Order: sequence, then C-alpha cells, then structure tokens
Amino acid sequence: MSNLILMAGVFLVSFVVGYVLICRVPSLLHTPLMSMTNAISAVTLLGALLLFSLPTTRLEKWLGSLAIISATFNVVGGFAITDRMLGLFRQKGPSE
Amino acid sequence: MTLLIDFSVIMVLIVGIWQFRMPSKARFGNLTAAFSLLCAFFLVLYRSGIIDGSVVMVSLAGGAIAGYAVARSVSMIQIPAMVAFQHGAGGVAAFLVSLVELTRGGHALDLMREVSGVSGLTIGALTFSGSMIASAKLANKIRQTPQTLPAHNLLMLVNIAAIVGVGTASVYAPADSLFYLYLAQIGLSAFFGILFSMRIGGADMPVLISFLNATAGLAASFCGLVIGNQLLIAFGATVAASGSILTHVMCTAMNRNIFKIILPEVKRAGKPLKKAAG
Repeated sequence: MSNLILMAGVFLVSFVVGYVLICRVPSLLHTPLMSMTNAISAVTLLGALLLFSLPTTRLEKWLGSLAIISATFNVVGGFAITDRMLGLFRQKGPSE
Repeated sequence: MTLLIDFSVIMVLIVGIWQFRMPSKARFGNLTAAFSLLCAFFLVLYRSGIIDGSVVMVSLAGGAIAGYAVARSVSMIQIPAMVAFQHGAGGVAAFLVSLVELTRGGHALDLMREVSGVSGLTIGALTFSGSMIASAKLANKIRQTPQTLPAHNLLMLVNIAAIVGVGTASVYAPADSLFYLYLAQIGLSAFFGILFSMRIGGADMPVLISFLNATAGLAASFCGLVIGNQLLIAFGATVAASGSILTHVMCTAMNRNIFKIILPEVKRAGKPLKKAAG
C-alpha cells in the first residue's frame, strides 16, 4: 500500500514539476519541445525491457519485442528529429 | 538508495527541459534529456536481469536503426507527419506492455494496478490509432479536412460506453476470458482514436498532435503504474503535463476553445464556402 502511495506521489510531483518547467518555455520553442517530449514519452521502452526480466512465453516474446522495436523507434527518431529541428534554428538565427 | 538514483536521473531530465528556456541552449537540452533516458535505460538493464538477451538486443538494434534512419531521411516538410507517426509508435509500445503485464498478472495484481493496466491499454491504443490518422492527414495521404460520420456524436458516446463497460467487465471477468476482453478493449479504443481524430483537421492539427502527446505520456505513466517502476511514472507524468499545457497554449494562441475543437458542432457542408464567394 505504501508503495502505491509512493507511486501516486511520484506521478503528482512529476506532473507539477513538468507544469512549472513548461510554463517558462518561450512559444518559439514549443514545436521542438513537443517533439522532444514525444521522444521522452517512449520511456515505455523501460517497461518493455522489464517484461523480459521474467521467463516469457512465445506470444509474450513477440509482443514484447514488437513493443521494444516501436519504443526505440520513437525514442531514437524523436531525439534525432528534435536535434535536426534545433539545428535549423541555429543556422537561421544569426542570418535573420 | 535506489530512490536517490531514480531521483537524480529525473533531475537530469529536468535540467534538460530547463535548457529549453533559451533557443541557444535548447539543442544541449535535447541531448541532456536523451542522456537521462539513456541513464534510465541502463539502470533498468542493471537492476533487472534480462533473460532473452538476444531477442532484446535484436529488437533494440532494429528499432534504433529504423528510427534514426527515418528521422535523418525525412524532409523538413514531412517532419510533422513523422512526429505524429512516432506518437503512434509510442502508443503501440504502451498498450503492448500493458497487455503483456495484464495477461501475466491477471487478477493476481491488486486492483489499482489492474485498473491502471486497463487504462494504459485504452489510452495507448487510442493514441496509436489517433496518431496514425493524424499522421496520414499531415502527410496528405487522406483528406485533411475534418470528416464527420452520420451521428458522429452518438457513435462516440456509444463507443465510450462500450470502452467503460468492457474495461469494468475485465476487472470482474473470469481469468480465462481476460485475454479476449483485453483485445476487445484495444480494438474499441483504437476505433475511438479514429473517431476522435478524423473530425479534427486543418489549422487545428497542432492541437491534436499536442493532445496526443499528452495522452502518450499518460499511457506511459499508466504503464509505469502497472509495472511498478517509478522512473516510468515520473517520465510519463512529465510528458503528460507538458503535453496538456502545450495543448492549452496552442488553443489560446489560435483563439480557439479546446472543447470546440474536440467536439465541433455539426456544420452543413458548403455553407462557409458560399459565404466566402459572396
């Protein structure tokens, strides 16, 4: 039960911290920020990894590996795209 | 001790987002956030022994290579569609993880975790299908204008009722029928995602994407609850918070009400066009 309260607490605190953080971001950076949080939202990768910490049946193996593939696709792709977007910012910034 | 390590990883993520206050530092912030995710990844690897190392390695490599290659090769115009597509991939991962964890645990899980699992399933699946529709719209694969089915609102209400019904039933149903109920839940939620996002189009697309961002974070968070991993909960909740704020900010910037975007009134086709011509 205490574990449950801890988890709910973690959820609440992170939500509030996220709120405070994002409020300070200028609107110029909202699109890259969205793309970055998109990459972060694929932390389900950790969950998919944890599935493999117990013995798995064949179906679970398939589903788990599909989950890992799509989550890594999201993580790696998300950060790479954000990096590209922000790189564009830098080149454009001084010339304007 | 474990809590302290978890906390420091989350701190690194916070520092990363903190960098986003200034455009010149944003790129570094992005890398910092990626680094914190990498730390979390290795932490999980270290703490829990992976049994099927080969399967995990191959899937990881496949996903990473595909993700990187696609992200590098898309043109700037295709980026919004790509971001939407990635949201969908995140949704797939979320509902698959919830599904496996739920079928493994069944009713042996305590009620709270079971409910979070079903929520993860629902939100993950609707994020997936909604994002796929959004991505197809942005990539111009389907028509970008809002599409309305006959009796759309009624259909959505019935769908929501069905989702709630199946979700509740899965908590009480006998263990051998659980897997099928979960599959039905995924199907219903995916259908809801389609209904939800096909009605949104045109200038409201950024709002939809950012809304789906929030739901993807929420799904990750529910995944964390069912698995019992604080890192997952924290990262997911941060994304959910940022997604919902961005949705709100975008709505205000465009002078639109979020409820009007999500629940548009039924307009007669052709009417606005005539007005513009006249």
